[in-house]
Amino acid sequence: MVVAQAGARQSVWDVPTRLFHWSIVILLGFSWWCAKSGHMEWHYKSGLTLCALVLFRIVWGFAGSSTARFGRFVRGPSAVWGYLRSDSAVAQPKPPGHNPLGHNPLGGWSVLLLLGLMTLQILTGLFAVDLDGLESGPLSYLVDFDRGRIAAQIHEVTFNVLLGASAIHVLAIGFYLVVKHRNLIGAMIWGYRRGDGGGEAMAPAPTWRLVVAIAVALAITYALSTGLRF
Amino acid sequence: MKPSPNRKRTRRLIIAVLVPALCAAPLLAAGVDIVKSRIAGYREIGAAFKAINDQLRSGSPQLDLLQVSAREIANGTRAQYLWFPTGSGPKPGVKSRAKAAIWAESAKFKSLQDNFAAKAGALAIATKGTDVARIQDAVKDLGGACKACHTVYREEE
Repeated sequence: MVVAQAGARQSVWDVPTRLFHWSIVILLGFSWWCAKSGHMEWHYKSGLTLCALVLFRIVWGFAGSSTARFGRFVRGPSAVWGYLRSDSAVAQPKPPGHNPLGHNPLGGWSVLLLLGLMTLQILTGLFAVDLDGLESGPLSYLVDFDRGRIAAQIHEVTFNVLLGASAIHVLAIGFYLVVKHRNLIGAMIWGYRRGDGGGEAMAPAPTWRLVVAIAVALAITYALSTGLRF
Repeated sequence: MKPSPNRKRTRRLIIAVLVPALCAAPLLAAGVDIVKSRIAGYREIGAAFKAINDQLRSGSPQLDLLQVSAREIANGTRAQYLWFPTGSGPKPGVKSRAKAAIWAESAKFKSLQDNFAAKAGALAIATKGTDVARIQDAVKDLGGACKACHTVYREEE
């Protein structure tokens, strides 16, 4: 077990996880703009890119660096409750050595929620049909017009829920910054934080796993883009 | 026995309120019905358009299915002239995304309806041949005609 020295750089997020995070932020906004302004061809491409990103993140959650793995940050209700009682409820900065590396037990569930909503958004987009039958997702031919319309309506509702969940995510980060004096944004940009002497260091995944995860995500996305017509 | 003047006045009042209300009821109901049939008509056109796009994206489109859907759209473009009578816009109790400009700029709206009908006719003709590229071009033109009108005369969702 490698433990960071106080004040030393401590790796938190690997490059793929950070690229995934910021790409989602940009592409979610871009997809919304495309849909609103009628640039559906770009909406389609942006949606497929998001599909590849989410697929990658799911694979990376099983095979990626230690802090990206679901097994590390998805904890049971007792862990969440314990965290809430010991951490969030007390608006005091924690002493050095007590800040966990990566997602906390509550944050882990928010990541799962956001990923789940993104997955639902992508799935409904694949089957969605617009009101005029002009624009449709690559799998929409598998459903009739009315079901395609239902998918489109869910797609719209899910986007609004996703916006709400993202707003809570940003507010939580703001809470950490203002109340608990912990800047979580820096680690998501630069990948490290200044070690406070606590927590196990991130164990990076080997490059071959990254190559496999990207290949899997791209292959599935390509298959979906063709409407699973081989 | 003669009715009292008060009774007479009440009777007149009832008649004055009831008769116009009874006469207006079918007209109001017709407003709801025409909006419903308009929405149903456009739904049919949308479903037919989806069917055409599904076929074209499949890589090996079935021409008879394209013909059927193109004919449905062409029929819809003939019916559309009946779908916008005056007073069939949104009002209390009637949900519609039709903008008031449809009736304020009726000549411009009619020209866009004509354009839609012409493009649907061109697609119906194209589907009688076997040139898929020509059908695709006709579909693109028709989609453009739909958008040209919806952008101006349909409220956003």
